Amino acid sequence: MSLKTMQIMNETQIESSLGGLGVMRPAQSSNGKKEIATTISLTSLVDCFTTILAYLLLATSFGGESMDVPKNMSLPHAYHSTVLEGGLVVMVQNGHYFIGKTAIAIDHLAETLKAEKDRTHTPYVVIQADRKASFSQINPAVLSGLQAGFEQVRFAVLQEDET
Amino acid sequence: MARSKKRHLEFELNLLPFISVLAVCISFLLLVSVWTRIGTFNTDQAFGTDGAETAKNPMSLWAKFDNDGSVRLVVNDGKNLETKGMPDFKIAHSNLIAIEKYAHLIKSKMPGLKMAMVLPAADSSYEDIIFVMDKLKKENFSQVGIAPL
Repeated sequence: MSLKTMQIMNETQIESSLGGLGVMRPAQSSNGKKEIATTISLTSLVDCFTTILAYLLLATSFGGESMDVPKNMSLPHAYHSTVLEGGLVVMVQNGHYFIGKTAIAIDHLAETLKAEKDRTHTPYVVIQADRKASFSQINPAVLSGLQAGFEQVRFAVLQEDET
Repeated sequence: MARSKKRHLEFELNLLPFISVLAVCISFLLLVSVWTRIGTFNTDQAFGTDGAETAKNPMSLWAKFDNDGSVRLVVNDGKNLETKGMPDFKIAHSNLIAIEKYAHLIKSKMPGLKMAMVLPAADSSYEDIIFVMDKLKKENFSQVGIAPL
């Protein structure tokens, strides 16, 4: 056996994908019948899938809290906002105030917020309202939050990236 | 006579299970991805807290909404809202985007000014209030607060 044929690289050599595609249009064989064989290069497909997967993994925001936004409510946009980190959410909808799914009367909003603050030790209150809502509707939530002793009043917005 | 055995060292990597796993991962991520990111706009209140009443008022920029939606930008020197020589601009609601220009102008004249206070009117929309506060933050007003009615 010659040295050339004994080389391990000759035995492990893999045909190139382009070379493999050559069998898709084979020359006429000796018995006159065409032998059709197909090969599909899956490498580019796997590359595409891996890129999409990496993008989706990066685009998914990990660590942030989620907030339920009703269908008929659209939040305003803001560039200089921070990721939602929990906090006690007060939703203002058509002049009604909700903590979670519980409607709170405007007269009891401050004391309810105070009780929730003492229970959860949350340092800030997040006010969620429709972008078209007037400040006269939001004002009681702001005042009640301050009266309850929250360190900070935050407003729910849709985060925008500055380009 | 020694038979020459040809060793089959070629290997095939079966990509189909890999593709299936990737497809499942992509489908899952597409379904659970949140495409709109909800965040919070943080304010630094100087009104309504006990501490603010006793503390000395520093110089600040006030953005005062009128009921017609226009905004007046005026520098408060800690004593009076209208002081001679202090910047004072009125911006119409239709030209609210110009607030950025005026805030930049004030900031360039008074680089040490860091506090801004938004005073909405009863009819001011939540969107306009956030817009103004956002523009003030953009112009490096690090402490932006909102005054209740």
